[in-house]
Amino acid sequence: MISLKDMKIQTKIIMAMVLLLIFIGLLSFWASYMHEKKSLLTNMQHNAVILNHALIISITNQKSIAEKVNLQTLVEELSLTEGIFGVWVIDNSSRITSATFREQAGEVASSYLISDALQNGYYVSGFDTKLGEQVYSAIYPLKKGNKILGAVEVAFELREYLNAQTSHRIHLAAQMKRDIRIMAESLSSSIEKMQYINELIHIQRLVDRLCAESEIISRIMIVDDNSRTIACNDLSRVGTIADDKGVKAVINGADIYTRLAPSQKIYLVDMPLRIGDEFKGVVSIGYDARDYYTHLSEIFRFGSLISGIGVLMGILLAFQVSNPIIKPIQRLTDVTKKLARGDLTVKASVSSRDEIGTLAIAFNQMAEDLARSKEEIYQYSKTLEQKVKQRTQELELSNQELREIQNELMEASMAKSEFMSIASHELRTPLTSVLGYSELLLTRDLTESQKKEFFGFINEESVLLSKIIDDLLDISRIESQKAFGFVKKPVNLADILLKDTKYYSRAEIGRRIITDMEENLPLVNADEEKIGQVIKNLIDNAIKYSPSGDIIAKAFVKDNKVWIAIQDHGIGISQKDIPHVFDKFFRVKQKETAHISGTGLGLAIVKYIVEFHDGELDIKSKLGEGTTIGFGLPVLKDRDLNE
Amino acid sequence: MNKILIVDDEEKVRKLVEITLSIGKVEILQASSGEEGLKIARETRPDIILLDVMMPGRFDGFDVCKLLKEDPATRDIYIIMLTAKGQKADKEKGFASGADDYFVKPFSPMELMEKIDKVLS
Ligand SMILES: Nc1ncnc2c1ncn2[C@@H]1O[C@H](COP(=O)(O)OP(=O)(O)OP(=O)(O)O)[C@@H](O)[C@H]1O
Ligand SMILES: [Mg+2]
Repeated sequence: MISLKDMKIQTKIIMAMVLLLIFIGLLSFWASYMHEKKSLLTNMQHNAVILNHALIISITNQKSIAEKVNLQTLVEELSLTEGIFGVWVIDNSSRITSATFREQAGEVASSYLISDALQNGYYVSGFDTKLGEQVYSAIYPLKKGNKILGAVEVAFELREYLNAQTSHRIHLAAQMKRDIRIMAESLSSSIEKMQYINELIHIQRLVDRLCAESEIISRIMIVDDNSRTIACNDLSRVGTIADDKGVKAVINGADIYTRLAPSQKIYLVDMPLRIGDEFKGVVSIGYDARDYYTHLSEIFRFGSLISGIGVLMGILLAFQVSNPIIKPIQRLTDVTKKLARGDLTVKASVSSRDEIGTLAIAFNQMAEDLARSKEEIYQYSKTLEQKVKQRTQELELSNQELREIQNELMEASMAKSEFMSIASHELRTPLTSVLGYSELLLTRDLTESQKKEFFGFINEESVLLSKIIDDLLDISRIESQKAFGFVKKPVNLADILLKDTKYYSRAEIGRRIITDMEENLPLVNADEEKIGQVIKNLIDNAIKYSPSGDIIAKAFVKDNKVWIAIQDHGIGISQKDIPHVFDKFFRVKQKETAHISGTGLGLAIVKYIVEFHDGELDIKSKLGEGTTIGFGLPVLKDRDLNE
Repeated sequence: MNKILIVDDEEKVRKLVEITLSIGKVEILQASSGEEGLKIARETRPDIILLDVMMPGRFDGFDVCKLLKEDPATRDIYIIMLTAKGQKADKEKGFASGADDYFVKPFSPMELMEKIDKVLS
């Protein structure tokens, strides 16, 4: 279900308008309805009051509504007499006025005896059947002068007579005839003594005539102060107790009581029947309200039509009224939606000076501000982005630099600690002998030959120690990047090579060093000692890293350079390690070389020295097959020599 | 008689240990490489092994120590690492491989003797 919250303003306005108009329509309809109703009913009521007066006037002269009651009382009292079946008072049109059997009041008495009596005006009696029972009936006419007003009928029960023996019946019949005549006669005379009997009968007539003549009156009922119906156009009601609301109310003192009886479509007006100041009974007049009802339904239909038109007009009106309000709001809403979607160029049209116009102006201001601040933010973010980018680049650069430095430092520090560890080992090994044997010499009683031997050990190891210390000092000099003192002069590399190879005794290294040298090698400009160290380092390695096999030392010219290359058939170097062997402190880490002491500076020194001679390095190696490492120094030109 | 094995590639060091311990009643066995030391240790089950770390060949001192300590038959041998590698990390590596003691080169022969006496008693 759609709640009021979800409705658009226009719908709300339309609904409010429609509701208002429906309300107004209903109100006017209700007003006219009530007015119609009231005027109709007051008409009838007014009529009833007039009628009541007329009735009262016609009855007042007769003074004696009570007599009518007395008549009925008389009839009923007489009926109680032993042997009497029933008593009837009949008017001159054969209509029963009062009867033992009250319900018969108003009926037309149809017995032949009655018509006989009324026509001829004399006493008749005879056997008759009443209510299915055999009776002996006597009818005595009621007269005023010569005028026949009606008749009195008295019926005797025949039970005793019929049960009696025939002989006795005659006697009984005679007695009955006599009794009944007396009774009828006395009744008739007592009624005749009620001076107004004729007038009483007249009331019923009056009622009948009024009903017949008036088109709008459908019922008139006269009720005595004991609620007994005296006269009514509906004869079946005469003599009965009227117990409807109106009668009761009036008997209890109301001046007038009106009500609609929709089931019978009548409008009932009950009023007291007063003669003089005396309350005598109730006059109840029923008006035909069919017209009223049809009229009302017509009004109702008309009202519905009016309401329908009202609704339609309300909708139209609501549209008419709401459009000028809603349209700008709708336009503003559309524009706002666009704005919300990110279109900051939108502009609301300002078509009026009212609140909506103000809103539109404020909106435009806001959109402008928004666009401006967005632009500002965009510009700012752009410069920010650039700044960030720039800073990031700078940072990346410095990070890169830092990383490089860090890597270098780490490598250096790692190499250094490894160097320290190796140096420590290299130093400790000879020191062990020096310390150990000297302690033995000091603390033990030793033989002369033992003493001699131990002193020898100490001497050997001391020499070694000093050598190692020299090496370490060399290394530390390179470490601190201090250039050696180079002394370059034109030399033949073959001479240096030969000198160096002689240094290795075959017995000591357990193999030969084969030299393979081109003859008449050109001279190079070099520091003899340093190049000697280079060659020595290369041969050292060839020995250290090849368990066996000859070592070949070559000297040749290639690409305008004099080359020295040392070849072994040793463990070789893996492809991955080749680029690093000339790095400071680099040593291949593998089982085969773990026990071989070294500082990883041999080849670094080689590279350093060769580079200083503007030379070139070359390395060829294969794991398990052997290594060839060589260097080439530029051939010394004649021009250079002459200089 | 107690057996002591000395494993070191340096002959001078082996000899130093041998002479140092010669005054005690011990039998001195010698090996010049890790492989040889391992072989002799398994064959003779010495009471103590003095084991050098940096040696040529397939096994260094740490390898030998580990192999002996993993083998139930040789697990109980008291192993003293004898090495020129005096740094803390090296010591830790030595103990990690199961060594019982550590002796740094250069060492005093008297101290070595005292240590061995202590172990044997
Ligand atoms: N001929 C070779 N055969 C195999 N590997 C070699 C050879 N020459 C050098 N290497 C490898 O290159 C490494 C660097 O050699 P380098 O000469 O610089 O140091 P080192 O020999 O270990 O120590 P030292 O300072 O005593 O020479 C060596 O540790 C070794 O692993
Ligand atoms: Mg070297």
